[in-house]
Amino acid sequence: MTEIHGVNSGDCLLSLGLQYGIPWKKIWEEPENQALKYLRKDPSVLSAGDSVTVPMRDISTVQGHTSQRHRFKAKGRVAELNLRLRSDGQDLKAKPFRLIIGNQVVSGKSDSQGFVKAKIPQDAKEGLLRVTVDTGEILLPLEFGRLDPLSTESGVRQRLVQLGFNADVSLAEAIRIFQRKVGLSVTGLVDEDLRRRLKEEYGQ
Amino acid sequence: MTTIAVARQVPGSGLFNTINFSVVEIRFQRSPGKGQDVRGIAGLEFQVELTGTIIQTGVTGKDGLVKMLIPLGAAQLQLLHKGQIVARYDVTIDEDALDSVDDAKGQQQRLRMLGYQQRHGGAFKDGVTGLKAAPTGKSKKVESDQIRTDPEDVGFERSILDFQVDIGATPGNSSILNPLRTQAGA
Repeated sequence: MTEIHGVNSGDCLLSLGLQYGIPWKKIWEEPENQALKYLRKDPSVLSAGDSVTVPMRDISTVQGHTSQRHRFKAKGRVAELNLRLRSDGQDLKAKPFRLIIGNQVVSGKSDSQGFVKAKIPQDAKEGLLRVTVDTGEILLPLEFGRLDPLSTESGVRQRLVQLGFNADVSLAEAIRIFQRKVGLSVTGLVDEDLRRRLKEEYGQ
Repeated sequence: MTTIAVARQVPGSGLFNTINFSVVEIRFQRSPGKGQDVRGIAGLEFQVELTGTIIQTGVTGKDGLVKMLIPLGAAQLQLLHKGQIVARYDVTIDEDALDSVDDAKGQQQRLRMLGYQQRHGGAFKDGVTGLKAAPTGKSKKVESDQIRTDPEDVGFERSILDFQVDIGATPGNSSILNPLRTQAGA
């Protein structure tokens, strides 16, 4: 028996794996999900309204003696934040940061390419990233799992905005400016070349 | 509240997200007529709000400079006095916000930013925005030998003369382009 899950904003395969108690890879490899896999290509970015077929949970029996302690380790319970910080196109290197997710605080420094990397819970929804830059501290309210696929218009818009192009005013104008900057033909339209360059610049 | 959408990445996937801050530098300074080195307003408390969340706070130094790091293309700069907001400026990233410094309108925009008033014409009553035609900056003699008194022309010309005096240039007889570009920062 399988179950159909209608994807809500904020869902991804990792959070669904935790929700249903099934390794996300098993859901991703479920034959009924081949079309979804082909469409989205990336288990960490789904779109609200997608349907995911959730397979049955494997139940295994383990025998053990009473009055003894038995240790079990759950696999793959973490996801990652992998966020590159830039300022006018320059990497923000070696900047101290604190990532706060609920009661959990992760501290560190961005690496030599401006990457902030941290383990986060598979079902983390919100976080606050505090980054110390030359002029003081910047606070970034993050929402995990809310990135839309690049194949959608909202996904294109999100990536442009985060790259510093003001797509909230005019998507076509933001696309034109981006195309001009990266040396693409300036059309103001979403096409495969645009998506490819956006993925290179944005990372996903 | 505006938040930044990011993905929960599969460990080891190599995929990432990017936030590219746009750096906007705004200098707060006293009215024209004072030397450039003493014009900055120091000790000005400010904060940057991203639709409901204060993302940056600070106090200006001697140069009066606020360096905003804007993560999503727009934010509001707020000036504070004793913890209360006393001024708000909506700052939006726009590649084409300023006309060329070679054009009269671009010169007007920069002069206006530097505190040289352009009278009150146009959509925003700033003497610059939304005017049908940019003024020339020169009062023109017309057939009857009277000086043209178009208010925008007079305002523009006056601001150029004031600017030239303030930078120690010969009024009415020297190019303002380079000093204007330098002082406006664009």
